Amino acid sequence: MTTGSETQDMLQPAQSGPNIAQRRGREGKKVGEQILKVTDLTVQFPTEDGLVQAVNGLNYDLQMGQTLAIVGESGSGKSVSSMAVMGLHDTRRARIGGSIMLDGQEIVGASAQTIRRMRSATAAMIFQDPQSSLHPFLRVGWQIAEAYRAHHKVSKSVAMKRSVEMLDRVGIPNPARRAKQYPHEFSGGMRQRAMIALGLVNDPKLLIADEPTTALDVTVQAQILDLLNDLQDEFGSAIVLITHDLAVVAEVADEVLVMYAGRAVEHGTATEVLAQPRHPYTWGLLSSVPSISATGSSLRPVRGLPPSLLNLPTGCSFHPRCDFMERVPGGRCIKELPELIPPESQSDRVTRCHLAEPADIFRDEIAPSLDGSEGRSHE
Amino acid sequence: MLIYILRRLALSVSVVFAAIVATFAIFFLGPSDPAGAFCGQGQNCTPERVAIIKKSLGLDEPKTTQFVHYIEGVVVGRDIGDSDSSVKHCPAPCLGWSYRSNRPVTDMVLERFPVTLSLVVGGVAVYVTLALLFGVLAARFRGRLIDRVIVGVSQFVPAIPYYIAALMFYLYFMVFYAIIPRSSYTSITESPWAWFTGLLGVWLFWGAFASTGYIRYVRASMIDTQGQDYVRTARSKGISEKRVMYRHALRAAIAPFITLVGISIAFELTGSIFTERIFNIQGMGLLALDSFNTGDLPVIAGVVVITATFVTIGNLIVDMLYGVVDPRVKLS
Repeated sequence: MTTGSETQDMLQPAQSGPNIAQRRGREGKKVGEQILKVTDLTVQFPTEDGLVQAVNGLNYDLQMGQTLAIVGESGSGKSVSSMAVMGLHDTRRARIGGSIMLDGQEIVGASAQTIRRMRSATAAMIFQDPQSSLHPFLRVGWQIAEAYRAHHKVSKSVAMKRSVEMLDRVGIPNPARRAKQYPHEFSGGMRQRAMIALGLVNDPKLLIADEPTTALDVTVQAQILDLLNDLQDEFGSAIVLITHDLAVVAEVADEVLVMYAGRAVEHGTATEVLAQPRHPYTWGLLSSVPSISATGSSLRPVRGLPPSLLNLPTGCSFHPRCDFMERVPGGRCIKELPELIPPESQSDRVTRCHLAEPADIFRDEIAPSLDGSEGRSHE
Repeated sequence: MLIYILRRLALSVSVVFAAIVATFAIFFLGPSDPAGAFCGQGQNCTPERVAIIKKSLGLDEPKTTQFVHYIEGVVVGRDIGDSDSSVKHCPAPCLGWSYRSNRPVTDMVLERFPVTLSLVVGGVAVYVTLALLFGVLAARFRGRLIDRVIVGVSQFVPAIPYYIAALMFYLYFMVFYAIIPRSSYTSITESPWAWFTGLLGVWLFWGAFASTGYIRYVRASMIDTQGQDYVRTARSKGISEKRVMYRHALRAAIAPFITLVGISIAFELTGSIFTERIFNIQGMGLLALDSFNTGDLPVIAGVVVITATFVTIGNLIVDMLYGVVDPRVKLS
């Protein structure tokens, strides 16, 4: 007896943490102040087969204390765009255009020195697979202390003390002993905690978490998300959370940016995007989330495969996989790339789709079939 | 750790024993005529004399008995010869009695061993240094001119036959232009400086020649580790690119390289036969070569057994070194 409106209620972001305005600020940057502004970002990789257009005109900004979830399939450009924020692309192999203003500093085209000083101190990144992201031959405590020493002129023992402190902070029991161990002596969840400790050791203003829970057990996933939430409240940093898991989004994100084939297709607050998605691709993502409670409803994955970034489809990149193309007259989906524009009067909510009445289609055709299938696998 | 070493040592002993069995089988069960070789080609060598020699060396006994005597010699030593002629005592580990030199084989081989060991250790030190230096350099400047030059040279050099390259090196650098002191061997205990200068040229040439294959290996290994997630993590910490390269990427790339070097040491020990011949260094390789020419079987067998022993020890050291580099390898 689940109805569409119940579905929407369950998709509200969890209001567990204190609200943004109440979060503790920090010196220099207050909660709500802009930390990151990405303008018209493009990332291209010239290859022998042609130009791979990984990110194509991406715009977003982020305030201190906020969490932005970037959602999309593999190859949608979510990781590539975030690596660009960290300056991690090899400039000999990648062409980066547009602008990334991080804490008032332009990152695109910045010197190696500038980028080096920014890394870990202003923005830090946590990677998907904690198994392979820590150096297997080096002690965990040393690896964290090294990041601290890169930005603070302190002795090794002071850095190590800080390292142990951070391990304690992320909930690793017996941190002094653990600091002397190697990554293979840690469990998967512990390793990801250590990665978070490494990410936060320099108290960065921005934390980019690239699918931080994908490689972990479901029970551990929830712990890691809670930890990230708690630490954000404590440190007041901004978080970019890269994920393909909408359950995770519902739990922690303030804002959602849905990416497809290197472009933003939908962007708004988590509440709006999850409760009233307006892009057929977002509908597809919602329909493909599994649920324990769902009775008899089958998963409906987005049909087809993501397009080749070497050769994007004409018009709307999503049109070959879209079930609603016929609703747009004149074959515009094939001919014309839709703009990322606000529907009706809402100004901070944007969608890239030609459909005239996406809200009605979602309400009448998509929502009823979701049938509570938004899979709260983290609870 | 101690248990591990003891267990590996026990294993090494059995490997060496297997080497002895194989060596004995190859050299002493074959159609060889050691008594004839001992007797010489002169007119003094009558069939009667050959028979006497056979008896005195115990060669008239069944092969199995001979083998037991051989093993006995290795373990506790033995006396060679019978009451008819002078009895020679061969102390353990006895690897037989040289027909030609009339001395215990063990003494002859061990006398030459430091020579070959000096050669191999120096050569390996040179090629490991060069391989790491140029391999890392090429990987760091991948695709650039310096990388192309390094890769090009490392592909061209091994195409030259080793003995021709070695002869040319000897001729040009040690004889015609005499930039490098002419190769010779002086015991390190006698004069460390003479030891060093005498072998320097050989080390440099051999090391440089051997390094070419390893340069490409280190380069590929470094390029591979640079793509690893943990190197990306290191880079995202804000440490210098140099530190990323040496403290993180190289640290990981070096582990498989150590294994490769361990395997190669056996190969280099064997290959030293050419080097010793060309540079006229009186090592084990030359001893084996000379013994081949004179048919002095026990000496050849002795060289094989001693080489096998030291290869086994070398492998043990490499395995332990690997445990130091990679903490995931548990030595137990």
